[in-house]
Amino acid sequence: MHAQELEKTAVSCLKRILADPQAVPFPKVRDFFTSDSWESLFPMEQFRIFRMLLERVEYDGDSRALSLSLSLAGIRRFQEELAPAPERIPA
Amino acid sequence: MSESMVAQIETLRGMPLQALRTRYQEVFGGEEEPSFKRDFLWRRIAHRLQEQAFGGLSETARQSLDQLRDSPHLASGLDPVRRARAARAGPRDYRDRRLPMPGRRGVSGTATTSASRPRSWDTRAARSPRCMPRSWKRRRSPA
Repeated sequence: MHAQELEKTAVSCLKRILADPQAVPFPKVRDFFTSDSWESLFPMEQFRIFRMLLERVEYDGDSRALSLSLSLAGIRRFQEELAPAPERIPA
Repeated sequence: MSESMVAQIETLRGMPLQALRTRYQEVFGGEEEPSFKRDFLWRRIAHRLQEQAFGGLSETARQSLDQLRDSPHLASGLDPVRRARAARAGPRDYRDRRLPMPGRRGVSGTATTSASRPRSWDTRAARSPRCMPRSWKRRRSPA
């Protein structure tokens, strides 16, 4: 399997997992991945988020199995990032 | 702490149309928005914000796009890939292959060559002498 193909599969798997309400109990993260927001991001920002949410990606060439280990701390951090900044109080 | 890019995009996605139009003019320096569609506006603003934050196209990419814009391929409304493919394939032949080439005489004449004549004609001519050119008949007749 080519690295690019593997990456594409990993991203689609990650999106599917994060959009599943039973798998990830973070509504903002889920909302982000079920909307078009992910597609509107620049590739470098997608890469940064991808790295933040994933701890490890393993691919077994014999059984052609792909396993993703999510980072709970990363998901929490991403949930915090998604929160809008508090309104600035004009001086 | 400044708002993260993803948070800004999420905020944009939830904005009503009027707020998006105002934001568009802020981000694009008072430029009139080209469309009133919500989906288009929030994506366009999101793209612009990321361009400002992470940097836009490189000088090389910009030059390539400029060249592409000025190229005759775009002026003719055909993209370069399709144009190259069409050039490789040659002119499209809409002619009925069973008909003789223009400028050549048909079945009853003698000018039809085997190159322009489908194979099925030969078998048909063998079966029916009426379809056969005179020269073929001469060739077939016993000496």
